[in-house]
Amino acid sequence: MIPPSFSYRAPATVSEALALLNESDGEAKVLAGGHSLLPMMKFRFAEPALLIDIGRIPELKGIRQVGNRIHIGAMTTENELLESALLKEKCPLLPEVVRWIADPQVRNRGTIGGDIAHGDPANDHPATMRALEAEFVLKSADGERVVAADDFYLGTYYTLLEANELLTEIRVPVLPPGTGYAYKKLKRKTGDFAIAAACVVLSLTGDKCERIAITLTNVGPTPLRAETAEKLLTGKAIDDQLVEQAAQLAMEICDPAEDLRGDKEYKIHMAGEMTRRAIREAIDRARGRK
Amino acid sequence: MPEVIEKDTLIGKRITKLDAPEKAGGKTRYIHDLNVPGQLYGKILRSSRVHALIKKIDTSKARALPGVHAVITAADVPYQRPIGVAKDHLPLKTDRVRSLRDEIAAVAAETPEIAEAALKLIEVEYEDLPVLTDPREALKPGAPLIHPEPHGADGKPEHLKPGMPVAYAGKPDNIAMTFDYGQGDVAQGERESDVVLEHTFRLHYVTHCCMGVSGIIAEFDPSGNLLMYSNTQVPFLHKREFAEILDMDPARIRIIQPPIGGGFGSKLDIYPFEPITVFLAKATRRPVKLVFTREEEFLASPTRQPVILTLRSGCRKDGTLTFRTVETLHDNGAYTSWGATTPFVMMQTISSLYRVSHCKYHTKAVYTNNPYAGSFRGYGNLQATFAVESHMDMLAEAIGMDPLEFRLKNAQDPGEVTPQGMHFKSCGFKDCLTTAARASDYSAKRRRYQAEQARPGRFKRGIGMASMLHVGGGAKIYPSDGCGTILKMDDFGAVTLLTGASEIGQGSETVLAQLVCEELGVPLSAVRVINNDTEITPWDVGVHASRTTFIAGNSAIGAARKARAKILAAAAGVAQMAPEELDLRAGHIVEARTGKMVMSLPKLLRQLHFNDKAELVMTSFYYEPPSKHQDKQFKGDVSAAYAWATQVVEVEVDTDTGIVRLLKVTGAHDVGRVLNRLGIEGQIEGGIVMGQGYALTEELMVENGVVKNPAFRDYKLVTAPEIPEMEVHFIETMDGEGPQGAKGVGEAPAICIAAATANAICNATGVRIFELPFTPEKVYRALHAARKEAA
Repeated sequence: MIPPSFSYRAPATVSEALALLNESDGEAKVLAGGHSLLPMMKFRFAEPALLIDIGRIPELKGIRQVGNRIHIGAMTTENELLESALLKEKCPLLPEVVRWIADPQVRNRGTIGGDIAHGDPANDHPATMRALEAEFVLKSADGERVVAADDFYLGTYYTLLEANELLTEIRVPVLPPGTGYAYKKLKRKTGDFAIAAACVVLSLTGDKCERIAITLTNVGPTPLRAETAEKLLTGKAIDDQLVEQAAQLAMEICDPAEDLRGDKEYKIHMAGEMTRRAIREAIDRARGRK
Repeated sequence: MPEVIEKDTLIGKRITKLDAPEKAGGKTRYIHDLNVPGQLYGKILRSSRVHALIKKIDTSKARALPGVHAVITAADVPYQRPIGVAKDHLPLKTDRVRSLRDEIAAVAAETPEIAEAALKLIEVEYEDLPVLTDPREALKPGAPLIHPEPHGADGKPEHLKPGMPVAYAGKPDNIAMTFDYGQGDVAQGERESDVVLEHTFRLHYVTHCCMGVSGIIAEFDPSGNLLMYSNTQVPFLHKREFAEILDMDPARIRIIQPPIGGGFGSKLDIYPFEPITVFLAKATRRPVKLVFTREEEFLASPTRQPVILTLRSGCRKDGTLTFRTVETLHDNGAYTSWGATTPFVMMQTISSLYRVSHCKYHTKAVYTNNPYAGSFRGYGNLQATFAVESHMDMLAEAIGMDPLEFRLKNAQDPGEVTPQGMHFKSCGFKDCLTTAARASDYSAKRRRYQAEQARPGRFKRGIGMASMLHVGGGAKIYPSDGCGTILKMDDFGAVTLLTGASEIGQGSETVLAQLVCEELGVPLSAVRVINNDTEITPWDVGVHASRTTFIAGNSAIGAARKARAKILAAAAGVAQMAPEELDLRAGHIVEARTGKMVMSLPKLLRQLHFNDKAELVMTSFYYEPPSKHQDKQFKGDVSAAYAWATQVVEVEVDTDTGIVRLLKVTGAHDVGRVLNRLGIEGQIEGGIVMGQGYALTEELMVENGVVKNPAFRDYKLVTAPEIPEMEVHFIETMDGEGPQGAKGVGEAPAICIAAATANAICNATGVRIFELPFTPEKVYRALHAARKEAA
């Protein structure tokens, strides 16, 4: 398939990109790594009049620590996340998630910003960002706002991002020592999207779970946060029975679309299984066992 | 160069494929890379309805688009003839469409973009017809008929000229083909049985996924000769078919094959895009290039034959097989290609892989509105082997016998002539069984994993085996099964081998060069293989049925031996020795007994070239391998040799998610003899991975006639991380008719994996699955259904 014709611009700075976005009156699409957008254009699901390639804007790249947060430029590629010594030390969940995304070729071009801003619940970063309570910097010609990942996802391919806004930066917390984390993703084979995946970030005080975030990939119109399961576990010493109850509560909020990866029932069961595994592994990590 | 040259051989060595440097270096010019001056770009408009009458086609807007040179529909090519195996298929559809891939119109334009834009301007009015997509419904009274009307030419008999092929007549029912085979008396076999089992197996759609998508360039010269750059696997047969379709003299058709980016059987038939491109070239008097998009490749190239197969079989308590009854239903799709004829191969596995006195086989291939199935590596054998080898394990279990012992008891021996008429002159089947079993520690592991089924734990391991029988010495399905060779030598000792056999990535040109080197004592670098131009190369029936090494190899050896005899006779004259006292080694004539150098080969050749009796161009044909056509009862010895293999698969099943991982595949293949060790290892490893995809991840999802996953995003091929450890053993039975003892191996390695994996999953979990592929969801459901039943 050949996409319909479109104009193409490759601005050198964020402000140029924002000016183009502002002028285009919603007819433009921002091109990051292109792994989602270009297939959509080929299949005519997206027919932008203008493609704004933000791949040549140096200020959109890079990973740096600012206080107790790590700021990641939106155009940082997945492989750059994977290879970042800073992330490995301060927020190891992120490189762990990246390992599960697609394949090395895709990770060479694919960017964290593109993965997040696309609004596809099948992508792996969105649920991770919710579990990390990350923040996103959205810029427009009018200024800048910082929004919580928790509030960002409104529906499938539908986010807080306005047509004239650009996601420029992702801010994730430095995980304090003793934080337990895990991302468990079930896929048919390497390179595939998740049948279901679960992300857990938790901290323990003694045996008790002080705080926990449980989020799910590809089992609803947006990345889901299993708040009832989180509430159940918070303040308790997590045993097998609680893990099972939490998994059941997580399954209750799932509403996956039936597709080639399975029907609703199977996907919900797998979301439960991934939740069990993620909680167990996160606890093991918090206890320094893994 | 030393004074004495020891005898050396390339046979069995690890030889890098001749085309490896250019392929690995990205320098190969596939059809996609070829462009002809003045060329236009073709695109095809396909149906947007699964089954409908075409009421009206309006191409006026498309014709008016600047840059468009031609827009054609069936009305513009009244001379078109039905194509395909049953000639039930017009390239451009006239009154109705029968599947979503159906071709309605085609455009030739200055650029692919203009051609694509023009397609959008073609308006088609349809009247929907009832849709038939379940083959089981096809036989029911009142089912929609897929080919009710005669069609062909413009559908009007008076327009058919005498001597032209008759147009397709239409059918009163949806049965495209039936096959019946029998040996012995299955009722008697059943009476003699202590155990009888019956199960239904369901085999799905997969497609070849060649890295190079379909494509063609067609052009006419001013004298009306047609030149096609084509990816076909069967150039000489296609010349003839194109001549019929186009009402042309076959001698005016030339096919040049650029390097082919994968065949696997997909390029064995003529598909509508090929004649359509020729029509466009004719209409525009310009070369026209048409290359599929990947999406189009998924939608409009053939699939493996989907099958519903019911197998009933029995054995005695002592492990003797008694009978087999097979009923299969083949979903032909809307038209008939080679997929419909896969029963030829299926029945061989059913009747003759093991000794079984009483057999009955019946197939109906029915028309539906689904994509149509073509030939695909293994040709029905993956499907038949899946059922037969699943049942072998189940029968063994029912009588409490070790599955290996059970197979050994019924396995064929050398010298056997089966009731179907196949004569197994060389047969390493039992060696394959015992070698694969020993190397994989099959029996001990099987018992251990079975004992561990009941233990708690998420992961279960299992081991399973399956074996296969396939033609390995050509297959006599056409009037001849031959291949021609022309061999010429220049005065510097270089050899040019012109062979009819096509290279489709399988490594045939390397093996043919090796065989020539063996006869002529020249280094591999001295041999060039020319194999891609019907104007230059001698005749051949094409790449299919694992035949090229065997047939083209024997043909090449024949030509090389003629050259050898001529050279040695001339050398004997110069050296004043008898020809038998001489040998050819490392580009020299040597004394055979001592290896002492007599003279250099190039020097002798130069002398011969200045001599009017030289004639250093040899021809050889290997037209008739010792094989026989099947009779009307499907009995006959269709191949000069048969290949055997056993593969053992070890799996790990995650019982909580249904994910099945292949840990190791151990194969033992009776290949006659290893010619190129590197090549054959690659062929077998590639085949195992293709079988793995069939078993686990690949499925072309067709719902109500619509392909739901026409992209690699959702059609999942196996990639490096899932590929298991592979250990391959070669059983060298030195076939008497094979070139240097070799037999064909092209299809063999893909055949057993699905069956062996089914047996391994059952060994791991106790659960038998009768339907492919083993997706996580399917395995999970089977395990949980079994758990519920147990509870």
